Amino acid sequence: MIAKDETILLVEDNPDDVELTKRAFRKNNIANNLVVADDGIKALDYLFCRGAYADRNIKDTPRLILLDLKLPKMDGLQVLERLRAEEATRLVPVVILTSSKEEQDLISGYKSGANSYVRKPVDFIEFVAAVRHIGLYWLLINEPPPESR
Amino acid sequence: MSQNKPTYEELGKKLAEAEALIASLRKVERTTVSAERDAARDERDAALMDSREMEEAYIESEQNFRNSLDASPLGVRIVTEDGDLIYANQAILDICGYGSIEELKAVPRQQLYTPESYAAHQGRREKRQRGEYVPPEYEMSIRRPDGAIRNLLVYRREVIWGGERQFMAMYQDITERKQAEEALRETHEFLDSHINAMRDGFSILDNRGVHISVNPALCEMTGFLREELIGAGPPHPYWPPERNEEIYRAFQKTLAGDFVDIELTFMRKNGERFPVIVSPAWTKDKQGNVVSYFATVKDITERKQAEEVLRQSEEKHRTLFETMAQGVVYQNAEGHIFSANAAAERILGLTLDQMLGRASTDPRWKAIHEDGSDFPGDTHPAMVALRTGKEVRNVIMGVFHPGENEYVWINISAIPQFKQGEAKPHQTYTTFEDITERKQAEEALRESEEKLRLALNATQDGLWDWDITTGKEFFSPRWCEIIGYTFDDPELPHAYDSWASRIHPEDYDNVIKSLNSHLEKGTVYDVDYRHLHKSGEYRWQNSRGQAIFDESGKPIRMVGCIRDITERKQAEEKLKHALANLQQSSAQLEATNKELESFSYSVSHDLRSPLRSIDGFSQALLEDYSARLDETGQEYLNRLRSSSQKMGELIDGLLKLSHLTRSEMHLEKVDLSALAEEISARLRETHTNRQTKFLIDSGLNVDGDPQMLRVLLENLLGNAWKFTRKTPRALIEFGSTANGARKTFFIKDNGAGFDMAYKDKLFSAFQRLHDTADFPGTGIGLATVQRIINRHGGSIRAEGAVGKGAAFYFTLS
Repeated sequence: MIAKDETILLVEDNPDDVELTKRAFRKNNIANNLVVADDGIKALDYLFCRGAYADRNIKDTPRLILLDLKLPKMDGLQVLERLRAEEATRLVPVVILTSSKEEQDLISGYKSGANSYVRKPVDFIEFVAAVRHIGLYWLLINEPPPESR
Repeated sequence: MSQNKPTYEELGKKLAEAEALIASLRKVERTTVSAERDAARDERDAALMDSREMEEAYIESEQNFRNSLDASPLGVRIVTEDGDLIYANQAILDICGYGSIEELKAVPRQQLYTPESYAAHQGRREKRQRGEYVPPEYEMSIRRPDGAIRNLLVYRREVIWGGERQFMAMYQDITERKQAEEALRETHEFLDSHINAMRDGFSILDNRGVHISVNPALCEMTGFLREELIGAGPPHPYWPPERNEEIYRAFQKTLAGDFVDIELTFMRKNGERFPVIVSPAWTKDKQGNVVSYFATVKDITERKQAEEVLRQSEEKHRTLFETMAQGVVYQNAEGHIFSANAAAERILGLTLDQMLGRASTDPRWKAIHEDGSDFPGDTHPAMVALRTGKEVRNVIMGVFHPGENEYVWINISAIPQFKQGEAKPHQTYTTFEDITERKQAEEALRESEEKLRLALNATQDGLWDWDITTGKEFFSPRWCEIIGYTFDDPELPHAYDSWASRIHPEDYDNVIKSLNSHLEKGTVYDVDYRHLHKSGEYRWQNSRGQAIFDESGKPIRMVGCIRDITERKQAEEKLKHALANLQQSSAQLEATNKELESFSYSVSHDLRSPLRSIDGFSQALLEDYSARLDETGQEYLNRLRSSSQKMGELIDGLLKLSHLTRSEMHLEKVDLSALAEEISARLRETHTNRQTKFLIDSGLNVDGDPQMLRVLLENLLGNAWKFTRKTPRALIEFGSTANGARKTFFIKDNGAGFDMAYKDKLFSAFQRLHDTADFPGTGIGLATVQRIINRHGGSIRAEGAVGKGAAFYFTLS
């Protein structure tokens, strides 16, 4: 249902959540290439083709970034600010996917340039539904910015 | 001048009369002499007409001539060319005082003539002998035998006498005229000396007004030379051209009546105008024609100036009298007022008319002394001054003012005034000023000082008064007491140093800086410092003061007060400590809040993640491994999921509660009715199969935080909804009862209700009165409600009974 060559970057440190997110993707038949970065630095390395990802083509920007806020080394908001400051990544759709429903996090997230903010429900069935909605919307309904194609 | 004037006038008049007399005499003399002379000539001419043919006639004629000479009133002598007397008539004999011609003949000329006349006679004779011309008319004097001198006017001519050529001399006795002329000369000299010596100008004018004579004073006064005035007729050189007519008219007018002084303006040669008084006089002949004029001219410039000065002085005095703030009355010898100025009228409240004639002894004054006692009239300053003849000054008196209907206070002085040479005053000059306001001010000042004294006593402030120029400083008894001394303690001299040297060294610089700043720039002097007490300890003082500056801005004196503020300082110290503690607590509280926030964040984030894993993997097991699990196993997995979800809700509830406690309130007007309608509508949507009736009053408005009030209603209405789940014909009401000024809102339902025995537990977190199976919930809802109402300053209570519904009553401030 969805083109496989388009990458989704999942920035998530909790392996359980990574596993559950992957499962939710599978459940929803989202077959995109899912790249996982388990801290903020790694996420930026991937996006800016540094370190382990030095060989990557910077033009291959992810179709969607799912960003947790509470991350080791560099938190999600900082990652968001950095990638929004870079020409290559400033228009990439970013969905904040987090446990927090703190007002402060919502405000900061949107301020830093998040396109969407989704709270992970405790109920897995609801979580699967949420992932389905995200995938459906951002990968199919939403028209991506021109340069990220 | 007026005393001298008649003298000059009389002199002038006499002089004129004398001159007129002399002129008339001369006229008569001349007429007489020339008549005789002409007659004689006619006779001779007739005689010479035809000597030969008229020989007889001539002899007859000579006889006639001789007869006429004999009868002539003029003296006639006929002499030969050699001077021998051949004829003398009776008249000449009478003049010379001899009886016969023979007697006269016998007298030698040298004896007959006065020496001067004889010398003149000799002179004439010599001239004739030399053939020179000698005037036929001359004067001479003879000495009579009785010694009297007669002055004679002589006319000498040739006549034919007895056929011979002889010389006839006719004599007119002019002695009287000469005497008159001498008198006139003397009078002239006298007049001239007087007139010349006169300080006033004087002029004699002829009947045409032409100057005949002027005195030096007139010349000096007018600046014209004598020569410029003599011969000058009207308009006179010293008449200002613009006043010519005026002066003419004045003189004309005067001429009609008596001699009257005329005030005129004359002009000096330099053009300067000056005021004069002219005293004119004149002489008239019998026909009433003016013969001559005399004028005395007095320069009254100085007098005018003096008059002006006097007038101004009088004006000044009058103005002063009328406008001076001081009242002035004049009282006669009996003390009766006969003059008063406007100030007197104002101060005393009486019109001049009311005052006139009133004496100081009049009881209507109702005069009193300062102490309120009666002021007897005869002790009034004016009366005392009249009695003693001495000045009385500055007597204070209260006088009843009829207009104001109260006493005015006046300060009176009376000065007796004397007529020249009299010992008893004939009047007093009584002055007084209104000192009512001054007295009131003095009274006010006294009261104010009294108040200050009382205030100082009451405040326990110590007063100081520093004479900056001398360095001396007065300390009030209380001041001394504050630092442990008595007022007259010799150890504490009243001097600036006594104070300055006792200031705590740490405070000294600050105090002196503040003091100097006040003295130099006028900044406020209000300082706290420690001051050495006699006991040796330093005590806190507050000192405040104000300097007094002289006209050059130099401080000369400074006055202020001190207060012992040791206790206040100690209290302040305590307060400072308390404040510091409070600040510390506040900081700690803030830190605690931060921790709490951080904790909440962690709760929301970290506690939920494991729950999600439990739920997620339980679901994965159910989905992927259901074939290997029996029903019990699957049931357990469902319980795991249910519990983890419940815990998620609990966490959310707690977060909300914590959030409500911490978040800021934003007050605005909130329409609770609309909010309740909205919530009820959503509840009905979620359970469309339920038949629950909502009765919501409209117009329930309140000031509050809209977010919190929404949570409040969601919880209460949500509860009511929940607990009426099993109630047929469920009814939920929201309304208000006015209870005094404060509105009490209520939410009632007819649902499951509760046991009032447990109502205390109702609002505590995690306390539930119903089992989860019947009515699921976290037990946080009402705790949240309670928290919201508390934050709004309101209160809430619940009423209910099991199976009979519940009612929640709450207020919001």
